[in-house]
Amino acid sequence: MGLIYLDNASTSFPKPESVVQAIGRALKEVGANPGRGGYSRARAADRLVYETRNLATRFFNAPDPARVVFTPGGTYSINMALNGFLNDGDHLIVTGRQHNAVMRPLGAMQGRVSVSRLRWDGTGPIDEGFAALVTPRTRAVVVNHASNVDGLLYPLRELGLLAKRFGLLLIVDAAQTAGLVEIDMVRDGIDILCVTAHKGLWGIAGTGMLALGAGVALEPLVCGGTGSFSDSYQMPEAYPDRLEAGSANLTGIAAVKAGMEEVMRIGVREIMGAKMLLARTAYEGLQSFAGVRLFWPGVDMARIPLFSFTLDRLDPSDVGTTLDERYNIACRAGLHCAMDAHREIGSYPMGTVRFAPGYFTTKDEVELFVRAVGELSGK
Amino acid sequence: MSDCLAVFGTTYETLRAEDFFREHGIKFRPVLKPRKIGSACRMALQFSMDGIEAAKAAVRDGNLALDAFYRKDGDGWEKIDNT
Repeated sequence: MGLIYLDNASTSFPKPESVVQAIGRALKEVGANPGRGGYSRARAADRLVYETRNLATRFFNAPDPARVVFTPGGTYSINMALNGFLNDGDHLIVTGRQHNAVMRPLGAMQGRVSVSRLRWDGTGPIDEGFAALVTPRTRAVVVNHASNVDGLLYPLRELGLLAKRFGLLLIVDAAQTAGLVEIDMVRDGIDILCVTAHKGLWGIAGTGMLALGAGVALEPLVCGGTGSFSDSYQMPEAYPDRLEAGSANLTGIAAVKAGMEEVMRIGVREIMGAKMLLARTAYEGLQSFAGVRLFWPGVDMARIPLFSFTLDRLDPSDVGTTLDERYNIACRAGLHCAMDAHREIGSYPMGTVRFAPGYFTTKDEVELFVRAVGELSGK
Repeated sequence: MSDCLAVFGTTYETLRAEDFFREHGIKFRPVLKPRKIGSACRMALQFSMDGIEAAKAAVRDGNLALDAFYRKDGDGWEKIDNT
């Protein structure tokens, strides 16, 4: 049996063939540096970036394509967002199942920026207790749209309305949901959307996006050449250049363009439905084994198709290693860079093993996974 | 004769302008902005003065962030009032 890859929450694998081809075309047929020359190849590179920016604008219904910025990844996008507008003394509200992509930049601001946590387990209204967290210095709500540990999906529209009611920005980490859940910046009231390209959008690692809502301005985190306004030591005021210092990742941008096109061709609902079927099959299969603890916040609840599990008396790391060595199954074990999420679901400090299927995962592979976990659990 | 230039703030805005110029039937060629206009690196769209009104309409329709239009003036370029 070949590799059974169940770590799509880390990065999606395999990528669609169109993505692989797009990377090859970008390298062979374009190759030049966008925004850095007037010759035809450089303009072809410009055009590729431009088209991708416009496509991403439509994909997320971003209000202004000039404020859809390419970044080196989702983590960079979050760092750019948080560092770009927070001042000393500011306060933030963060949702509970956070990833270190948010918590570490905030940790680096410890003593300068304060944080309150909005607890929500998926049941009941999310606005309960929200007002009590707001202070005169609160600037924003930061939500990890869906947990990379147990799949809990936060209701963006409700959070967007809450943020607006209290005059706060809504910052969304869409690492797990871009390409899987329909995200509409205008409808959902998102002020800053942080996207990674190499998961649900089928791009490659080292590529991300940051989309700003109307009227949102950020100070640049990184400064450098933009191919424009070169006679100034200051970063340009004009977007996207203001937030795009240094050479663009042309192959990464070509990849995410092809990936988004593929997602749009198939449709996010189809992708979500297919993956959810696989997740439910695995979840129900594992339910039948004694000694398996499942972290799945309600079958019928809004969620994304991934979940965590542990086996009684077994270290999750050993389970992950054994799945790899004995069954050629790739699952990520540990804390998944999300200590807060594990604390919330009660799996800290041991962590869990995560099941994260992809659109290309087959039912047979899921059944082999269930059988393997059954054997490890002693059944 | 291509004796007019349209200069925009960013590469992104210049590409938008290309789309709107095409929509308005303006024949143009993208060129590096002449250094005599200013030292900042940038692309510009060069077109015939015959198309200046269409170019102004394209800028309005696209809500394009135009820096300025320029007209060839001997060895240099003269800014055109965009109204």
